[in-house]
Amino acid sequence: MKRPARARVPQGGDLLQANTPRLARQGGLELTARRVLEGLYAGRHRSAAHGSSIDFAEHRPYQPGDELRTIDWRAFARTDRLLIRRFHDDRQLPLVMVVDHSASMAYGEPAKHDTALLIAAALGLLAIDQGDSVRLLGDDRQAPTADLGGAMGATRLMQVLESSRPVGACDLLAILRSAADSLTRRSLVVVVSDLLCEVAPLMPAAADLAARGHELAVIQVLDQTEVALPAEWGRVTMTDPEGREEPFSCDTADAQSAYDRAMAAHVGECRNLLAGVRADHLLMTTNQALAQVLGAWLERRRRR
Amino acid sequence: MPGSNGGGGGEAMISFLVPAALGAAVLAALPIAIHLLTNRAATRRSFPALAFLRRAHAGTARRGRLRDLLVLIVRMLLILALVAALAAPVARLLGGGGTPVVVIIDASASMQQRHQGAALWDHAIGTAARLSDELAERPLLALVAGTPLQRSALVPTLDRGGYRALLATAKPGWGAGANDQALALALGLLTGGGDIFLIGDGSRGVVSGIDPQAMPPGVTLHLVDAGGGGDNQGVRAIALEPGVAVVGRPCTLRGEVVNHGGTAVTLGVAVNLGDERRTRSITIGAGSSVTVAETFMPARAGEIPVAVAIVARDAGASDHLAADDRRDGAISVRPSLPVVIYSDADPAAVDGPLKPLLAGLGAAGLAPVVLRGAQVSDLHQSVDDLAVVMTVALAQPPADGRALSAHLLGGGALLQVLVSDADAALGGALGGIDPPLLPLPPVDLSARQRGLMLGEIMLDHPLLDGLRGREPLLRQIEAWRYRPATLGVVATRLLAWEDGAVALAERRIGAGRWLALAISPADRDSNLAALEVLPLITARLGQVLLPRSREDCALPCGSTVPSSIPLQSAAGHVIPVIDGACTVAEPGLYRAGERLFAAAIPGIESDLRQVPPPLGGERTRASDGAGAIAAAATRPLWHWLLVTAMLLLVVESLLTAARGRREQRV
Repeated sequence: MKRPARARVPQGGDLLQANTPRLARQGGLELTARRVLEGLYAGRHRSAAHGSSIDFAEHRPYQPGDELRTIDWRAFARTDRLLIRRFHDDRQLPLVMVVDHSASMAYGEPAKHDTALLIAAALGLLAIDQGDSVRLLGDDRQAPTADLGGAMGATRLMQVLESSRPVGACDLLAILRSAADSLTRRSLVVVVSDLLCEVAPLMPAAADLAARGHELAVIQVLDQTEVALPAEWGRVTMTDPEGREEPFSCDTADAQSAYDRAMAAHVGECRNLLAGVRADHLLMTTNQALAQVLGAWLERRRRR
Repeated sequence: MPGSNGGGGGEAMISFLVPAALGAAVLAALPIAIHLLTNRAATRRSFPALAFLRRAHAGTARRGRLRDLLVLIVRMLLILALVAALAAPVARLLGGGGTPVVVIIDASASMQQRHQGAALWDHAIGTAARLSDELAERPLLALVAGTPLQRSALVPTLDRGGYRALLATAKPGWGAGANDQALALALGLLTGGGDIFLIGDGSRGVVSGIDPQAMPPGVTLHLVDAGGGGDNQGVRAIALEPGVAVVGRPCTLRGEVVNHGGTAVTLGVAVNLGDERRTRSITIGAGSSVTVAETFMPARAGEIPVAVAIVARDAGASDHLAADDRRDGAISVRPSLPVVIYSDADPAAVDGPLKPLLAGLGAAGLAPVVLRGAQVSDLHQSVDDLAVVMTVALAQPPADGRALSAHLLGGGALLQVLVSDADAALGGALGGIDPPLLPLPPVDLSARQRGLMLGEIMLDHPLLDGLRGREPLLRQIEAWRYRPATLGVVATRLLAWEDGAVALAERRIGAGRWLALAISPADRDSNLAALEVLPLITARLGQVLLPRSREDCALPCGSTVPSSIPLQSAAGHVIPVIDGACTVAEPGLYRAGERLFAAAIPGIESDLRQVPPPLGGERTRASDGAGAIAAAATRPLWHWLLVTAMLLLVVESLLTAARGRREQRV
């Protein structure tokens, strides 16, 4: 098996707290993602696309972050080289990512879209670094990519992500359906979206993906003000960035409690629906430390 | 509250002490304006989760609008409550619609003091007039508490004609008010309940006898202060020291000037005795008084007007009761009375008769001249109004006694009695009565052939010629005094004539010496007849009889003076005699024939003492009827409004705090 080129990882900083999407937007997406990666590596997190099996498949050189229990000590004794055992099912799952590029993703400071790109970049680089391939799915506005790997793939991945702009609408249903049709290999499909839409219609497509053997994970990215409506906004006239809703005025102090409950219920619904199709769900807000949240999520996945 | 004991039990009226503050009620529109402005200026925000917000808002919009409305209303009420509190609302309880009202107006002299450019009386009349307007639907009666008490009608009536007429014609007097009398009358008229408004200056003894809390059930007494109340200065009293003024002798006029103002004032005070005037500047602290005194030396005898007056005030001094500016009086300056004593007695002898006499005369300011018998001829000098001539135990009659007597009599003065030293002659004159403790028989002056009996002495001497014809006037006084003396007992008998002639006869029983002291006031008043001098001369006597009583020249204003002739004021006004008396209504100097006296403002009025308000009452000031009604029997409501405002603030805080409670459910 071709060993993926190990990407150069910058050092330094509190990597677990690294969360600088602005840098990502300014052309430093890879750099920022690498910083997140540092945090993940520090937590010894593995790619989300990695699974586990008991049937030995091959050896490969030990890389920092690999679990020590996978080191083949006998091989070390024979060869004086640290090698890890890879099993048949412990093979790379292609990482397929869908990044919501709808106009609603432009909301927030930092914008949800920037956070989503950073998530996608970090996960993608992590997967590439660990020998997995990465593919981006898109719609008519954002063409999907081929399987990307290696340094070239990482670069390409960054280029595609950086060129993404949150405008218009994003038809997640169509993307998921096309994913079910187009993915020939069992893959890990990660959807990064704010899911500010009706989630139930997406479930059949999600169920179809699960039925085809794919793993589905949804990372729901929201701004803090979308999770908890600020009462101090007072009297405001709200407008829909995607133009689907008519503007209306309200006093956020009055609507705060009801809105918070409604949003919490929606998130809960998302989680429940996705759990029903054996899909993973992670909610994060743009003000959270990306590496920490992703790291915790990856750890949960690994222990499952 | 004054007089608030339930009243006639009827309506309660709300009024405002500062109605101008109600104009700030327009501020109650401020919350509405702010609400509209903030609504219009709602910021626009792009919010992706609009659908969720809309659904959430749909459930809370109505509640939010209701809360907004409530907050708006509460804020408006809060502002209105604060504005109303600023306007100082008071609730006044008045008797019900038809209950009668009696308005008493204090007409004492102190109501003439000025306050804010007008007399308190004018303020009170204005208040009474406005009360009539305010209480148009109620029977009304006005009582002017002066002397005499005046009333607008027999009973309270809806007809305001008499009420208005009385207010137009009534004037304050110069005497003390008759508020107690008026109040008693009012209570008698309000047996069925009602309201009494007593309008006065509130700082005199006007209401000292009135307890507003002691009104009978159904009657409410409202004490209305017409203003003033002690922020004045005035002359409180005038006095003369010694009490009698004598020509050529110093006398001191004292005046007490009082300042009832709140700050010290500097006044120019003049003390006048006749045409002579002394002026000085005094500074009186707040609430205190200063006594000014000036000593004069009267140059002439007779009735002389005196006065102590405030003639200048500094900028800090206030208006005053005009008549209190000065206190007028009159003194009777007595002619100076030299005393010549003929006596061979040793004036220095301790137990002699002259020493105490000389001491007494000296204390009276008299300078006796003691002439020894051998110096009788010196009396040819002219002396005016010789006061006393006494002889003591002349060994022998002076050789030139006749000449002396003639001289003395020519001056209408005294009689010198020369007596002998012969006990036997005295005993014979006395009819043989010898015991010292037995009264001597009355003098029989009819026995001319025996000369003139003066005392127990047969006076048969040309010197007695001056007393002849005066026998019918004799008023015999049984005034005996016995006192132990060094040698024996001294018996003294006092004789007095109607026309003021007084004779003393002293007999030293057992000593064989007689002292005859004759005092004659002659045709003019003599201060020897005055209380202060005579006792000094007759210090050894136990009893003195004044031949004529002298009335005090100071009369209180408003008093009635028995007189058969009209009084004439110093300004020339004539007070007629009515039923044998003249009523002195105003202060000043008056003359009735030879009588001169000063009418002064009664002490209760002229004295600017602050009288504390009656128990349970409150002093309130009212400058008009509306104010009087509002101030009397009122209960302030502003503090309740403040409490209401605070409660509204709490409610408003709770309503606005209900927003913004965050529930983190994610």
